[in-house]
Amino acid sequence: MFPYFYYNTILKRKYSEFIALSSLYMVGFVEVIKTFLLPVKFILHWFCVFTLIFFLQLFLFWTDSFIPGKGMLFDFAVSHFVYILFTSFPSSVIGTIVIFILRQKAYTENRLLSFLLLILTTCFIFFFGYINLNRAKKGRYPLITDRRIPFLSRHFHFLDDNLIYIEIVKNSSLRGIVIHERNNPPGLSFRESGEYISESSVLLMQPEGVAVEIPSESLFFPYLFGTEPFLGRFLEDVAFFNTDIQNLYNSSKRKFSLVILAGVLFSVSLRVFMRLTRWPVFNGIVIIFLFRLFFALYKIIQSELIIDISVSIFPVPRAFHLPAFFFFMVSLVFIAWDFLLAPGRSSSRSGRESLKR
Amino acid sequence: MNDFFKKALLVLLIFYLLSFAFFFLISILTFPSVSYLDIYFWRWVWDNSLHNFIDKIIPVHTTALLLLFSFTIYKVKISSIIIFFLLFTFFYTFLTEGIEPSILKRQHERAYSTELARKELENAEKALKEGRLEEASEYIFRYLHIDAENAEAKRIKEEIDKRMGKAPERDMQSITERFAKKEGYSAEDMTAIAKEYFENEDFLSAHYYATLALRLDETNQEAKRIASAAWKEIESFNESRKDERAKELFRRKKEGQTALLAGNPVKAYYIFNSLKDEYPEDPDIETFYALSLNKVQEVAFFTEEITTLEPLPGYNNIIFASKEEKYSEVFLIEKMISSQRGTFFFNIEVIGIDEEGGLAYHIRAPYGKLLHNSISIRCIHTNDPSESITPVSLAGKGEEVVRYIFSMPLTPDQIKDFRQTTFDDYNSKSILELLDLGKTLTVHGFQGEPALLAAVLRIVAPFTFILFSVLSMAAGIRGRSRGGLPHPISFFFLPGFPVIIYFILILYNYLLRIISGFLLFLTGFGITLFILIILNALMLSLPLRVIFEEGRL
Repeated sequence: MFPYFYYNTILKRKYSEFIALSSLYMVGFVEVIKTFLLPVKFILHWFCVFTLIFFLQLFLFWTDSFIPGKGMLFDFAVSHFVYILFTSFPSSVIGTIVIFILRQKAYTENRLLSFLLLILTTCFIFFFGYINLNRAKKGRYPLITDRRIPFLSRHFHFLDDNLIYIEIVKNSSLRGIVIHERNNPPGLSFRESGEYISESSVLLMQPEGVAVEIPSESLFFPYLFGTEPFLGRFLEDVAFFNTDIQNLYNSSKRKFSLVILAGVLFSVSLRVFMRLTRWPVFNGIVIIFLFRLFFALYKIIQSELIIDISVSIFPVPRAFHLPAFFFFMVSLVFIAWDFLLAPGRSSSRSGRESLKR
Repeated sequence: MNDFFKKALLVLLIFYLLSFAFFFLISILTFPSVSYLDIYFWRWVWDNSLHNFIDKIIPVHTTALLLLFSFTIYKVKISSIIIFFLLFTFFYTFLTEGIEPSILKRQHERAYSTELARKELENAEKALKEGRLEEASEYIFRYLHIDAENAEAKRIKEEIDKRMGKAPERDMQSITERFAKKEGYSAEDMTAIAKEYFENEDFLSAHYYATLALRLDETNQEAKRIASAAWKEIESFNESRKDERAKELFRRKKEGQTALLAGNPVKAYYIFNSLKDEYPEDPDIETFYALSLNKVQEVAFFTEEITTLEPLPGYNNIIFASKEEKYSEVFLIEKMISSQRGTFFFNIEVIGIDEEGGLAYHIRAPYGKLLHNSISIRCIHTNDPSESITPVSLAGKGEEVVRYIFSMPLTPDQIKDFRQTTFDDYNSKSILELLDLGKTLTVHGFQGEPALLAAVLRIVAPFTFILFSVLSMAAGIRGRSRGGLPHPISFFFLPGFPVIIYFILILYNYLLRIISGFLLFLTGFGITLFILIILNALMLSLPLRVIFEEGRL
């Protein structure tokens, strides 16, 4: 009787409690393990984003310097790999953070841990990537110059606002050149011959001896990859950010570190917006908007007007830390909101969880 | 119609109507009066609203689906989803391929008409100010041809008419005109006219007016004297010149015939045209006149054809190269107008290059006409050769310094495609036109890839529409609102959704353009299209996986 009673009342109950407690610990353990897997996930995400941006930049570079009928110079493009990597790198890290936040289905239990891990991983990628890219840039991969003749017989060539038609292209010498200056009507003028000097990328036209500088971009497709203003401004802002980060790395490692840290902190702190409302679509749209705003603000803060104002308020060395300072301050507000004020898991369950309830 | 269809159609219809109303309002407020005449206001507003609606339909559609799947529909059949997306993709394709190109064409034409009309009005005002009434009248006529109801133009026309009406009327021409209108004339007036003609040795007219004067007043001695003297002159003229005239007629007929046979139809035309007036009964002249006129129209055109066309809108800044047997030619055309009478060019410039790359000829002409497989730049006057507008030779060497006719394998539609446009201007063309343009550009000095790239992107556009539709469905389901509606203030920001989605869309299109451009250069049109379709299918599988995972299908 007793053992049966013991089993039925005390042991069974304790066993069930034990199972329940063990399950809870297991769940917690799995959450911790999951959190520690976060850097791995992030690096995989970054790798995908970076590869995509890198290849798009490479394609753009290739097509921009494409000469019809003369194929693609793979050596030429390969020699520019490091430079293309530089233009893809900073924005790819910031972009990955945003994509990563948007893809997070449920908010992890270990908010602080995941927050710290994300910042550490991002900073690691940034600093490690930059140091190695700069090493690679220093003479390991010499740039190959495209020495091909950028003209074709019986073709028009776009040169700034002008059009140049060439009848015969024989090596570097050209014959029968018709020029149409769009802004200088009435339109057509003729030059008997010309000589392309590939060392200096100059077209020397006879008989007057007029020299025209030939750009490295293709002379055949000037408007193929033009963007509308809405997108153009975004791409300009991103390009500004990428260039500025590189300049900071070359001029001052301290400034570079501060700006990187501020940028990473700002991007990671955006995750608080995933709990802004109970409607994740809305939250996602807000985060994309803030991502766009980040690049715009970065450029605005670096504008002459803002620098002048900051110089009049702060001492000169500190005034130039304004972007880092600004993004630090905004990030701190977001972080405080995230850890102190924003609601917990109730608004962040997955769709399936919510549906089951 | 099942529940899903009803809800989806209702939500989409509301969003479509709201967005169209928004663009309509924006168009009313932002009408660019600098670029368009007031008469185009409503037409421009309508077309611009429609253009913006079509251009931004994906963000609007996506926002509607996001809302739909975030709040209302939880589980739908896959067949319903497929039919739903296919229907809207057909609708989207109809809008982008059937409506959009014609809207853009109309807007371009209106902008051009406005520019032209304003120039005419400016010229009319200037000419009026400087007292050149005939010219002012011509300019204002052209302006009113475009904008007939403009008050300012009407006022200028009235002023011109008024001032032209006040001009001195006592000259000979005005008297004869009034006579032709049968206004009150005295015998003295008629005698004065007759005397004038007699002094100018126009004895036939002098006799005619003197006779009319005598009919009014039989006692008018002066009229009698002029009539008699004029008749005597006519008689003596007939007698003395009878043989000479026959000889002269024969000589001129022979000259005309020789010119025609020698391949100079313009000279032949002028000879027979003048003979036709002098000898209207001569059957030889009539035959040779018709023959020479036909031949002239094969190599030249008349000033009358072109002057009335000038106020019409056309296509500007056309440049292309062409290869004929001996020379390569570069054409620059300031304006091209196509009408029922034919295709005409204004300010045309041609450079001919020989096989060695040397300059053969450089010619500029104010007018040109597209004839059968050729362009003529010889613009002749109907009656007076001295009034003909001839081309100017700017440079050249050899026999071909001046040419009047150039071989032209292009059709008018193909020629106008050589305007210097931007990539976005290809939106006003259909896919088939773009494919054809790709080939034509290559033959005439340009690269065909931009047109082919535009065609590829247009073919892929419906896939983008489906992709964004499915993506929005997946995002809507996965990002479904937890526990009811969010705070009402969230809906205040709803208009921002299409803006952000539009940003994502143009970024996606830009990336697609880069990939397509690269593939096009590397592999050609067919393979690029194949790869892009595969790529789109792969991308489509990602949101579909999400939808299946969430158990909505």
